[in-house]
Formats: sequence, C-alpha cells, structure tokens
Amino acid sequence: MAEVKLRKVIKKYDEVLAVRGIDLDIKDQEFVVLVGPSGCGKSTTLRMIAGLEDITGGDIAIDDIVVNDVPPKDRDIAMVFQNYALYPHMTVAENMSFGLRLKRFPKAEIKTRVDEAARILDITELLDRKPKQLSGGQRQRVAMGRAIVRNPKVFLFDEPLSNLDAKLRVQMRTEIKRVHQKVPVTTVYVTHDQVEAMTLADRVVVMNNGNIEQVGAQPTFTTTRRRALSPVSSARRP
Amino acid sequence: MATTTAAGVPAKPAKSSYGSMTRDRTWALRWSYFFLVLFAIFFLTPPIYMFITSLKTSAEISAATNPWWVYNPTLENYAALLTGDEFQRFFFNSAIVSICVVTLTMLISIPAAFALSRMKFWGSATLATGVFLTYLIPETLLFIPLFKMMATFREWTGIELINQWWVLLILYPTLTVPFCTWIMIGYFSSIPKELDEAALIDGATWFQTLTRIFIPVALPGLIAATIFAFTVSWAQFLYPLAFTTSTDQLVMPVGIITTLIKGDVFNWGQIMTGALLGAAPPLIIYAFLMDYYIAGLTAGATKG
Repeated sequence: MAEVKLRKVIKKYDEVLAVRGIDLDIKDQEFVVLVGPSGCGKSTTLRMIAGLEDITGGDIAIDDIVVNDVPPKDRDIAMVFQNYALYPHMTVAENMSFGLRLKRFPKAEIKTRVDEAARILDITELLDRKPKQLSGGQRQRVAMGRAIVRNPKVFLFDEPLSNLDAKLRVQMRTEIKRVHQKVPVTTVYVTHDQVEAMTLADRVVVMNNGNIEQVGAQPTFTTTRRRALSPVSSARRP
Repeated sequence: MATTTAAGVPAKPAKSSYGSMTRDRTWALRWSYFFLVLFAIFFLTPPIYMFITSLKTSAEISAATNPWWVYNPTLENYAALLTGDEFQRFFFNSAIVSICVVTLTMLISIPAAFALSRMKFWGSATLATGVFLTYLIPETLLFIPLFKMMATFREWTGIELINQWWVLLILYPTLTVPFCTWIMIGYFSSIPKELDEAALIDGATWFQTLTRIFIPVALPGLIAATIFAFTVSWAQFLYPLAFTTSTDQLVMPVGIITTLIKGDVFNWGQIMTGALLGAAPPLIIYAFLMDYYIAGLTAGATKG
C-alpha cells in the first residue's frame, strides 16, 4: 500500500516533449484513471511510474521514496499490459508465480498466493493451462492474477481492456472494480475510454498534449474538452 | 477429380470461362505432384547412386555392367571402413569438432542476438547489419588471410595452430556465428516487447529474461540455428583441407578423399560408403528435429 507522487515530471523524446511537467498526488489505495486522446502522454506517464521509461525531469516518489533511478524490479509495482504479455511457454500458475519464484519465495507461500489470486479472479480451473488455450477475457484475468500475487505497492494498468470485445469489456470493467475492492491497492489505470474512466475511477485525471487538464472525482468534461477528446475516444470505441 | 470425370464430354459449355475452384485445385495439385516428383528424383539420384555403388566390389564398379544395378551385393566396403582405425578417427574428429562448434556458436550468438535485438546501445543497428555482412564474405576468400594470421601467430607466440584439429574450433565459428546471430536476432525481435517488460517488472535480470523467457520462447529458432551450425561444421571442406594435413587430425570429408584416393587410384566403393555414412548424422538429426526446423524458419509468420 503506497502513495505515488509526481513532481514536475517531464519526458522528452529527442526534441519532442511527451509529458510537460505534470504534478499528481495519488493517495494510498486510490484508483486513479489517466484518460486522454492518443499521444497525450498518459501511457508515457504510466511507464515512467513503472520504470520502463527514464524520467527526463522532475521526480516520481512511491511511498515518499524518490524512485527516479530505481529499476522496475525494485519499485515493488505490478503492471498489466494491453496485450497481456503472458509468457507463452508457461502455464497459468507458472505465469502468475514467475515473479515470486525469481524472488525465491518458499513453495508453500507461492502456492497459497497463487491459489488465493486464482480464487479472487475465478480462474482456479485454468491454472494448468497455457495462455494459448485461454480466451481474451481469461488471459486478461491471468495478467491481473500475475499482478495480484506479487502483492505490490502499486498496480499499473496500461489500457488493459482495449483488446477485448465490447461486451467482455463491460464485464471486465466490473471485474476490475470488484478486484480493487477486494485487494485495495493503489492503482493507476490508463485508458482512452471516458466511460471506462468514469466507471472505474475514484479520481479521473484528464490529460491532453502532455499536460494534466483536469483532476476530479467527476470531471466536468467541458464542451471544448469534450470536442478535443471525443473524436479519438469515440473512434476507438466499437 | 470428380469434375474431370463429369466433364468427360468433349464439348465445352459457355460456362467454362468462369472456371471452377475444384478444377483449379486439381490442376494445382497435379502440377505440385509433378514438380515434387521431379525434384525428388533430382535430389535422390545421387544418394541412391552412392548407395548402389557402396554395395559393389571394386571389380564390379570397374566392370562394364549396368551402373544402376548390383549383381553381387557385398558389405565389404562398410566392413573395411567401420573396422579401420582411420575412418573411426575421422568420424570422431568430425563429431567432436561439430559438437564443440555448435556449443561455441550458441554460447556466442544467443547473447549477441539478445543484446542486438533488445538492448538499444550506440551502434547496435549498424553492428547487427555488420554481423550479417560478415556472413556474405565467402570462405574461399577468407582462408588465405586466415592462414597467414595463423602463421603470424606462430611467429609471435611459438604456438602451432596449423595442422591441429582444434584450430577448426576457431575457424568454423567465423562461418556459423554471423548467420546464427542473424537468425536469432530476427527471432528475438518477433517476441513482443511487453514480454521482457513484464519480466523486468517481475524482477528478472537481463540474464534471467534471456534464459527463462527468450530461450524457451524462441526454441524453434534456436533449434534451426543449431541445425545450421551443425550442418555447416559437419560438411565444411575447405578449411580442414587447408588447415589440417596429418591423417590423425583430419575430419571426415577431407579424410575420405585424402586416404581413399591414392594417386590416380580412386577407391570408389569406399568413397561412396564413407560419404553415405558421413551424411547419416545430419540426416538423423534432421529427421528428429524437422518440425522444429520448419517452425524456426517460418518464425514470425504468424502470431503465437
């Protein structure tokens, strides 16, 4: 359980400013959704929190410890990717326990944690399957299970539902909300879908052009804002 | 086939211009079989001829009989080769050289390919292209400067490299490493970036990412590279011919021709037998790993 603080965070790719000095405080156990059109810097922000991208300027702190130069594995975070990124040669159980096995957790402990996560996500009967044998929704659950077993300080979701069909997306949305209620870990969730953002979030952060435009529990998407956001977001929604 | 029997009537109706899927398919199949049989004959003739000759006595080979038929089959060529010390020595040398070269190649090219495909560092793209360009230089151009290098090395250090079987362990990787690295770069690049990011977040080091994610996922590609390295080192002729001369240092391809051709006397029966026996190990390996090999060559064609 942890707080995440972003202070004047800047990301520059060569000469392009992707993130223009954003400030954000994420409270312990809070579910924050970053929403905005493509290229607004939301994914970059998430990847900087994860440690997958270097920070050009500013500070990111997890639990008041500045993690700018801390490698991802020592940040105690877990991430769910858009394409799930499951290890294709491992079973579901092996996928979920990979991180724990690397950290040399005792076998019994690993089993307890995997079983517990599988129970929460309702994938107990899938534990011996390979990712290839799973449907999109099931893969998504496994990806979340892999995050849960680690018992991390922060969950990071990078557009986790955009590869699913519309019906399943609505279903998984509820699922994610339910999991977060059961396992209340600080969560940063990136999406371009406003509805998804509104349903899931404790707080919505609207980003545009590398800046934070609005932060709030129920952001009032102004007309101009909506006009700026909607072409992209509605185009992406099936 | 059903369509052809139905259309047995010579008169062609106006409809024929539309063509028919099944008829197209039938013809496609016929052509495929025609060419497959043609190529099978083309490629199988030499080994069959080798086999036939290997069963003949020298007398029968030189006699003016039908070369495609054995009148007095005999295994004496096989017996002579397999019981003789020399052939066993060649076989053993070939085996040890090939196994060592394959191991060395894999130890070098897997980490190299991983680094070149995943760790973006200054000049990595140029280096990756450079690796492939190296492979394009034919060995027939390389063996003379290599020979010169070995000679210079002896002048400086006093260590004799020429006419030692193990010098091949230095020479063969110059052929296998670039190509294997290139195959593997392609294969590793087809693995989604998120997979190593997930591993990175899960707490894996680069080395663990390589051994526990990349190698198992890229196994078909790895096996393809292994087979390639093995075939190249097993069949390599020019380097051992140039660099080794003593009978006990020779590998099989060179051993067969140097010991079985005495002046202008060609011991054809044993030469064919030796060639056939020499071709056996790669054949056996191919037979077992064929599926993997094909999967490896078509890597990245489809998403797993």
